[in-house]
Amino acid sequence: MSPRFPDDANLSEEAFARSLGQAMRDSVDSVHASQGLPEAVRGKARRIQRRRTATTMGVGLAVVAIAVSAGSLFRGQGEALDRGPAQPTVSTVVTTDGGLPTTGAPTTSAGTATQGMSGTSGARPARVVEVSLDRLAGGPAPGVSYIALTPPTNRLVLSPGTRVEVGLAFSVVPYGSGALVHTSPDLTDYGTLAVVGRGPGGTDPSARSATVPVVDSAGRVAFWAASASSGGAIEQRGADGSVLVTAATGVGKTYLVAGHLGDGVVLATLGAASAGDSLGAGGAVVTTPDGRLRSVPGMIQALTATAAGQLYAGLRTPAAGSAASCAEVRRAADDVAVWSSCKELPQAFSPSGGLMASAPSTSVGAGMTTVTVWDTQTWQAVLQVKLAVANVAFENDTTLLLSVMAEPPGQGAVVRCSVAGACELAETAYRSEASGYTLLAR
Amino acid sequence: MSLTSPVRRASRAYDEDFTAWVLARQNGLVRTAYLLCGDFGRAEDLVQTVLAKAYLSWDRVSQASSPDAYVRRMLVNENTSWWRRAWRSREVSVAEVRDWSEDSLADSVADREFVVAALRALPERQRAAVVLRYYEDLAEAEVAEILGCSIGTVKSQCSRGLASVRASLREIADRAVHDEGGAR
Repeated sequence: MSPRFPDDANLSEEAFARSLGQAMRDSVDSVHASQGLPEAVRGKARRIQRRRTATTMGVGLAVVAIAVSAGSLFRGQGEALDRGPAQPTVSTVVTTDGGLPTTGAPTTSAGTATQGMSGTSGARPARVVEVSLDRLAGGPAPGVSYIALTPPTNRLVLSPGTRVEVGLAFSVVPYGSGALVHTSPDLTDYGTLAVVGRGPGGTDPSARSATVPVVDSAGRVAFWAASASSGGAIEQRGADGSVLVTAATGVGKTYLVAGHLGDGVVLATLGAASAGDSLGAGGAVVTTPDGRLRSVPGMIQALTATAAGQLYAGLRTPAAGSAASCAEVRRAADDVAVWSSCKELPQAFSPSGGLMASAPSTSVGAGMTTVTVWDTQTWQAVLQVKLAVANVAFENDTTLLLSVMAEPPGQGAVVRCSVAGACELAETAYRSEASGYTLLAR
Repeated sequence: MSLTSPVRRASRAYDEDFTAWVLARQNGLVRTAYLLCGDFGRAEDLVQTVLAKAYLSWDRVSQASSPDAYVRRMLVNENTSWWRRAWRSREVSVAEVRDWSEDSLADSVADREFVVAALRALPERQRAAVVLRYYEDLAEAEVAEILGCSIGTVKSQCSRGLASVRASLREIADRAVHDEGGAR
C-alpha cells in the first residue's frame, strides 16, 4: 500500500506545505488528551514542588548544563579551588545539621544486592542544605573548565570568556582548551564528534562519526565508540590529536563509553546489536590493556567511573521477575559492590574518587532536586543539597558545582557548595542576557 | 526562609483559572506534542510535565501576553531537553522510516503513521519549525520567537524540513510500490 498523503511532484513548495499542514491536522484528529488531565497535572506539580523545597525560581524551561572536567587546563585558575570548606564569607541560607551520618553496610559480592545504603531514605546525611539563590553570596567563577549550554540556540559558553555557537549539540565535554562537541541530528547514538577550540578556526577539521565522548581526569584524552562496516572500535584521542584504537568491537554493535578507569581502560555500555534498538539492555563492559572487551557481571548499564578512586557505577541486572534496576558502585579491581541504591543514581565522582554525588533516580525529567554527596571510604552521606539543578560536577575534592535550571531561559546560575555545607553563587561564571550569555572577565 | 509553595498558596480561583485553560487547550497540546515527539505515551507525559511546570508558575504564565505561546514554547523546549537527556536514559530512537519492515508497509498503515514517521526523520529543530509553521499555522515571526532564532532561520529550517518530508514520503511510496510489485 502506498501512502495516501498527496504529493504530486509538480506541487510547489507552498502547495506541498499546505497539504502537509492538512495531513498533520488529519493525522492527529483522533488524538485526545486523557480524561482527568488537570488533576493529573496538579498531582505532578505537587510532586515537583515537594522536590523543590528551596526556591521559587521556577521550572526547567531553560536547561543550563554544566560539564566539568576536573584537572583540565583551566584548573587552578580560580582561588575557589583551594579555599577549603565553610569559609566565613560564604552564605548558606539554611543548614540543618542532622549530625547522624549513616553506617554503610559492607558490600557483598558483585551483582548482589547490598542492603543498608539505599540513598536518602535510609541514609541521613551529616548536613542538609536548602539553597535559595537570591540569598547566596557571590563567589569566584568555577576553577575548572566548564561549559554552559543554553537551548534553544545552542550557544556553548566555555570558561572563561569564550562563546561558541555550534548548532544542535547533543553533548559537550570540556577538552583541552575547548570542548568536544557531539551532534546527532537524526537522534541516533552515533553522531559527529568534533573538537571546538577557542577563537576563529578553532574547530577541528577531522570531525568523525562517533558516540558521546568521555574525557580522562586530566582533560586531555578522550574516548568514544566508532563504527565501521568492517567492525567498530572504542577509540581514544590524545592531546596531540592522534587517534588510537583502545579496543576493537564487533560489527553492528553499539557501545556508549561511560567513564575512564585509568591507563586507557574505559567502562562502556553495550547496546543492542541491531539498528533501531536503544542502548542500555546489552550490559556493561570494560576494555582490557590488550585491546579486548570484558563483560561486567551482573550489570546492564554503565553510568560513570573514577580513575583515581578505581570505582565504577552502573545499573544492576534486575532480579528475575522484577522490572526495577538498582544502581551499584563497584571496585574496579575485583568487581565487588561497595554501595548500592534503588533510589539514587550516581552522577559524578570527585577528582580523587573520595566523594560521589548522587541524585534521586525518579527526578529525571523534572531535573534533580536533591543532590547527595557520599564519602566513598565510609559510604556515609556527608551532605545533601536541596536545589533544583540540571547537572552536578565536582570542582575539586571539597567542593561541587551545581547548575541551576531556571525560567525564563537564561536566568540560570552555577552554585558552589562545599562538603561542609557552605554554598555560594559562582557569580562570575556568566550573566545572562536576552540574546545569550556574556562571561564576565576574571 | 519565606518561600511559599505555589501549590500550597494555590487559591480556588487560581485552580479554576488553570483548569479552565487546560480543558480548553489539552487536546491541542497533546496533538502538537505528538507531532513533536512521535509517540502517544511520550506526548502525554511531555504535556503533563509542561503543564505541571506551568501550574507552578501560573501567576506568571497567565499574565504573559500570550499564555498559549508561552506554554507552546515550554513544550518545544521541554521536548528538546528530553532529547538531550535521551542518551543518558537510553531512550534514543532512530528514524522509523528506515526501520519499517516490508511487512509493515504492506499492512494497512494509516496516513498518520506516514506523516509522523516522515516528521520523526527530521532533526529536532526542523521538526519543531515545520510543526509550528504548518500544523499550528503560526507566522514565521511567531515561530522564530518560540524557537529563539531569526525569521531567516525559520524559513531555511522549514524549507529543508519540507524537502526532507517530501523525500521521506517518496521513499515510502517507492518501497510500497516495489513491495506490491514483488508480491504479484
